[in-house]
Amino acid sequence: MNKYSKNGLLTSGEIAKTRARLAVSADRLEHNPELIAEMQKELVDVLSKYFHIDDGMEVRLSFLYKKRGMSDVKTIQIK
Amino acid sequence: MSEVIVITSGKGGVGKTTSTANIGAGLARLNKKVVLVDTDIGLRNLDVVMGLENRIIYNLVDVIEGNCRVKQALIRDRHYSGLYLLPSAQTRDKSAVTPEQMIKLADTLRQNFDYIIMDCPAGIEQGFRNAIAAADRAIVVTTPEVSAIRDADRIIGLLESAGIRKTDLIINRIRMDMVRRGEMMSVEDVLDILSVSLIGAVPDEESVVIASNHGEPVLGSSALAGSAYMNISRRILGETVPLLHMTEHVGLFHRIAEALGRKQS
Repeated sequence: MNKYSKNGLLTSGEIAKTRARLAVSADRLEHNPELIAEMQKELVDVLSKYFHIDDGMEVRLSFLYKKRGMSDVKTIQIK
Repeated sequence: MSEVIVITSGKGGVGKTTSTANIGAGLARLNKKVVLVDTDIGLRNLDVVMGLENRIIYNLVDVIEGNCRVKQALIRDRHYSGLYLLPSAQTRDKSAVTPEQMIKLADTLRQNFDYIIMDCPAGIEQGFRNAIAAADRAIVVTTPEVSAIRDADRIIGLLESAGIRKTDLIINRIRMDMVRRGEMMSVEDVLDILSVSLIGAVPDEESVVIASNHGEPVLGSSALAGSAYMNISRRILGETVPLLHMTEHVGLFHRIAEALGRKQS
């Protein structure tokens, strides 16, 4: 699938994927999508200081709620 | 052992009812005894999709309130002898039924059917609570759209906290031409966002609308969507069926036309 269209812009499918991921993450964390986006950017900036994070890499953040059992894990994608 | 399956989505208009009707037909074709229960009290439409709207005498609320026996309310499908519909009531609302009553109804139906499929209303209120009350497993229907995916994720979380042990996903209305151009999320993209197992992907085809216009299942026709629903039905029975190659169906002519269109733009 093409990530970019001929004019060099992101395809709408790619934009939809980012928006869906952000909306789902925000719902799971019960937080506002803009703040989540901001946090994701900051986290990637911080991590980049210590690790080499290239384009082919995914960064995920998991919240484990131990009291409610192992099944209760909320994972959001950072990058 | 019979199984109660709820078909749900959160968002309306993603194809829950069409999926229910076609999965019901698919399971009946595989020689199972199936009853489809329209749990959308006040807004019934499974009867219309199945072409049985003129045969309704009694409905779900009549059965629950004891105005008739279950058998009297069941309507046999026009195509498959093992398929039945328990229609919803049109003149009542969701509060006419409680989750406890739905569990009792499902237990009665279990005695005569292999599969009891609950067509869930949109939303997460009482109608949803009623529809999932007796379910052993759930099938969540979504489309490759941001709004539908977001609602599907909410529903998956709610099903989990309600103790439903198995939840699978149907991704409906995939347009492979748009996916190829990058103008629609692919099956993989959607699965990447929703942490749930895929039970089938259904292409967006005219045949689905045409079948529904006639009040007939798309299943059994030569349409790719029909094969997709048949595969889903087999997977419900536990068979391993490889995912449909939706691209195969695109003819040479279509590809040429598309390639020409691309050059022009």
